[in-house]
Amino acid sequence: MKKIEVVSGLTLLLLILVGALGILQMHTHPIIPIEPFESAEGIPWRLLVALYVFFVVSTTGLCIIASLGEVFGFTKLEPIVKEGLLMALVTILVGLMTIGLEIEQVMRGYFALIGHVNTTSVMFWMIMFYVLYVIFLVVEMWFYFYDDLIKQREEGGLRGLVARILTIPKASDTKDFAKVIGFVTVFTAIVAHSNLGALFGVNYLPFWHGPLLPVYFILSAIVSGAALTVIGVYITDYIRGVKIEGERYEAIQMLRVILGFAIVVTIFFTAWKFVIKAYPNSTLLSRESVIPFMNGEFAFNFWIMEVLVGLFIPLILLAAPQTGRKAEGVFAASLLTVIGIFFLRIDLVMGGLVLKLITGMTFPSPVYHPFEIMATVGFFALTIFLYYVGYKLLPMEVRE
Amino acid sequence: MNRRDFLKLIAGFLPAVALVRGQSAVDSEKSYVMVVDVNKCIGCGNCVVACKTENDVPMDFKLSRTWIEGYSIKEKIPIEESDIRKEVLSTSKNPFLDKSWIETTKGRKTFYVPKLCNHCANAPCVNVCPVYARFYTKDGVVLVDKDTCIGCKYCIVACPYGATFLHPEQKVTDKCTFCYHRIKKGLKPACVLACPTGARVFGDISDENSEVSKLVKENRVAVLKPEEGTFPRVLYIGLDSYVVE
Repeated sequence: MKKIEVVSGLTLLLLILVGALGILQMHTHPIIPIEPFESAEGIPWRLLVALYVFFVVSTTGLCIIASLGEVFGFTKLEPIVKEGLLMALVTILVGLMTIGLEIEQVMRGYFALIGHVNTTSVMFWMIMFYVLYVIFLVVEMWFYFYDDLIKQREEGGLRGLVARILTIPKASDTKDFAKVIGFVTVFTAIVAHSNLGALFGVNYLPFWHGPLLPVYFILSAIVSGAALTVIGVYITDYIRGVKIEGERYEAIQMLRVILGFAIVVTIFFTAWKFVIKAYPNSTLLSRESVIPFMNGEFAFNFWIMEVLVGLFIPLILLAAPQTGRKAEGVFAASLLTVIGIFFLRIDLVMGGLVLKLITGMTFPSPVYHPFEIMATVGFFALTIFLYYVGYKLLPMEVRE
Repeated sequence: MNRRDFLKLIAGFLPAVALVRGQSAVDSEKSYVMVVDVNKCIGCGNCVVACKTENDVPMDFKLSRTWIEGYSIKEKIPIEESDIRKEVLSTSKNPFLDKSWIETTKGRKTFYVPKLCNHCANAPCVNVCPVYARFYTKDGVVLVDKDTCIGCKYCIVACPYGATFLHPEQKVTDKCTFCYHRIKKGLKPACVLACPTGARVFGDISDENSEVSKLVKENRVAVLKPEEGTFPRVLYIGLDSYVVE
C-alpha cells in the first residue's frame, strides 16, 4: 500500500466520523426549526435532501453513461464501463443512506417499502424503483465482472477470497446476460429518476411545478454522469500512477463530446425555464418564484456557481482544443460541472421551497446548519471510501 | 360523470386503496365542518393557547396547529400595489399587543384571520404520504397516524396552507385534528370553546338544523385557495381578497 493511500484513507475515515457525528447530533437535538411556513423561517427539505437528489442524479447518469458503452454499442466507452458501474453502485447506496438518515424516524424507514405503502404517493414509487434499481445493478455487475472474477480466484488474500465467494454460483455467456440486465437496469434508473422529478411537481409551488421537470432531471443526470465518470477515471489513474492514453484517452474524448452536448442543452433548458416562469406565465406568484434566483438570496448560487462555474466555464474548457484535447482539461471541466450541479440541487430543493410565503412575508434566507454541513462532508467522504474499497476488492484493472 | 364517480372508478382498479380509504359520502353519518367568521375575530389568541394546552403542542416554539394572521392594509389601485402588513400570532406572545402593530393599524383596514388545517376532501398530504400515515375518517376529518409517520416531511412540502409542522419532541408531523378526541364524545373543539366572540363555529353540515348549516345557508362563504382543488372543510365568512392563502 502506498503512502498516499494510507494518508488519504485515514483522512476519509476521519471525515466519515465527522459526518456520523453530524447525523447523530441532528437526531438527538431538534436543531432545525421546522415550522409552519406562514409563521416562521423553516424550510423542511434542506441540505441533506439536496444531497440525496445529487447522489441519485449521479447514479442515474453514471448508469446511463456505463450503459452507453456496455449495452448500446458505444464501443469507445467500453474501457470505462467498470468504473462507471462501480461508481453508480456506490452513489446509489450512499444516496439511499442519505435519505434514510434524513427522515426523522429512521427506524421506521422500511414502512415505505412494506406494510404501509400508499400507491398514490410518488415518493413510494420512487423508493420502490430505486430499490429495484439497486438489485438490478448488483446483478448486472455480477454478470459483467464474472469472467474477471474467475481469473481473480487464483490470487491470495482478501481479493481471492472475495472472488471465490462471488463465483460460487456458476454462469456462462455472462457478457450477454450483462447486456440484457444492463438494459433493464438503465430503464429502471430512468423510471425511478423521472419519479423523483415528478415528486417535486407540487401543485402550488410555481418554481417546481411543471411537466418538464422529470425530463430536466434526466438531462441533468447525463451531465453529472458524464462528468463524474471523467473524474473517477482521472483520479483512479492518477492514484495508480498511470498516464491516460490509448483506449482510455479515446473514452475521455467521447465523454467530452457527450458532456459538452448535454451542457449546451442544459443551458437552453435553464434559460427557457426561467424566462417562461417570469414572463408568459404572468401570475404574480410564478414571477415572484424566480426573483430569489435573479437578485435575491440564491443569486450567488445561481449566477456564479450554477451558471458560470457549472455551465459556461466547463463549456469553454471542453470546446477549446487547447484544453479539451488534454485529459486534464476535461477533468477540470468535469470537476467544475459537478460543483455546479451540486449547487443546482441546493437551489432546486431549498430555492423552490422559500417561495411558499406570499404577501407581506419576507423570504427566509438559506441557512445551512453546521451539523448538516458535517453530515454532507461525511457522506462525500463515505462515497470516495466505498469506491476505494470496491476498487481494491473487485477486478477493476485488466490483467493480461 | 362527475368527479366523485371518476374517483370511485379509479378506486375500483385499486381495491386496496378503496378499502383503506373509505372516504365516501354514503356510509358517513356525519360531515364535520368549521365556519370561521372573519368579521367577529378580534385577534385575542385564546384559541391558540387553548389548542396548545389541549393538544400538547409546544408553547415556546413558533409551532401551532392553529394560528391567527393579522392584516393591516393601505389600499391602492392596482390592488397588487397595496401596502400590506401581515403579522402572525402563533406563540404565547401576542404581537397584536405590540405598540408598533397598534401604530401601523391606525387609518388602515385591519382584520384578523384564524387559520388551521382545512381538512381537505381531496387532501394533498394524504395523496403524497408514502406510508399512509395520513388518512380520512368517515366523517371527513384528516388525521395523522403518529405510529406510522416516518418524518419524511413531504406533507409539509405538499400542504398549500402550511398547516402541517414537525413536532420537535415526537419527531413526527403534527396538525389540527378538529380535536377528534373531543368531537367523538360530542364536545366542541378547544379553539371553538375558547373563542370569546363566537367567530369559530363547528358542527355537522349534513344535519340541516345545525348551526353551521344555518350559517352556510344564510351567508356567503369562501374557502382558502380554491384554485388548488382541495375542497376544504373550513369555510370563511367575510374573507378579504388580500388573504391569498
